[in-house]
Amino acid sequence: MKRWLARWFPGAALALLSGAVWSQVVIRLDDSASPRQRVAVTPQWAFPDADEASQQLNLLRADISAFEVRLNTRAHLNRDVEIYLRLPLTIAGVRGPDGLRLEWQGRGRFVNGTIRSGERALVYRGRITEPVLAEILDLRLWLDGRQIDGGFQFDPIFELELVR
Amino acid sequence: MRRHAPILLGLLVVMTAEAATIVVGNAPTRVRLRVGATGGAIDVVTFSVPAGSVGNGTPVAGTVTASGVCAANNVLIDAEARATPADSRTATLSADSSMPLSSGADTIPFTEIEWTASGYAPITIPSGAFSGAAGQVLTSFQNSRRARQCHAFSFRNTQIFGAGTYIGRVTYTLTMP
Repeated sequence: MKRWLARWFPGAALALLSGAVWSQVVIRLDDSASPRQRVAVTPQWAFPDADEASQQLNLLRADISAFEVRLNTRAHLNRDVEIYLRLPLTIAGVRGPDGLRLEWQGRGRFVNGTIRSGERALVYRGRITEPVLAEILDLRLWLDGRQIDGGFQFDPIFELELVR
Repeated sequence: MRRHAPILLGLLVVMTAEAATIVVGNAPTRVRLRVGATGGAIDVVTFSVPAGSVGNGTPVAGTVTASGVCAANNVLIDAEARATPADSRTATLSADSSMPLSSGADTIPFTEIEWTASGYAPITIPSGAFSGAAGQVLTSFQNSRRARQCHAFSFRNTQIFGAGTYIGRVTYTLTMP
């Protein structure tokens, strides 16, 4: 019995694992059709009267209103998908994952959310019915002044996964 | 050994996209200093030395018309310096007491005035006395910090000065080069 398990269990486990991993194929969506390809923003100290002891003293905020994204979804027409918004794990000028937090509110079909560097969150789940999926987002960046070296830049990443 | 091959395929990420870029500019440097109660008026600390006590060495506590968040007869000194990244710059709070208090031709040096710190812990702008110099450093700290203290002033009353009403001004400055 033990010998039988030793022979077949690894194979069965591998099959299950393979299935799980296959469902995580991630496709980075092209958003080059978005109207604004380069958005500049200057952060401001979020709390003018913060206490020395609080985290607020080092907290900076930057708002980007009406950030329109147009995602090329032509290759996935009539497919059920999930779309995620991700921040890069490392951003030059940001010293750690707590240095940057991105918050957004969708004005249309995208759900609201918040992520830190290296994280992603679901923004859309459903069937792709158009070759370009457009959405307007209101973004808010929260920066920890202790963990940023000055100016920096990053690309928000939109990832698509097919729903089986 | 070959059973591991499907796992590697499963981790495939297709990177074919162009992306919009968000450019975050430098955070503004912020230096803020508040001395005294709110409002534009200059706070006045008054010392009234009784005629029978002049120069007897017993300190005379000052009175303040408005103490704001501090206890009565205290003056708030609130200094804040913010910049990025943390601990990259040094802020210095200094006082200029080089011009003595005067009453006509008579003067009293500011070295006759001292203060006791209280109100916020830990103490960041400690107790002391004016040096009579233009650039007396009261405290220094690194960004991003806030040094905040209540100071109760007193007149040392160790010397005899001519009778009169003496008026003077101390100027506080916060810098972060």
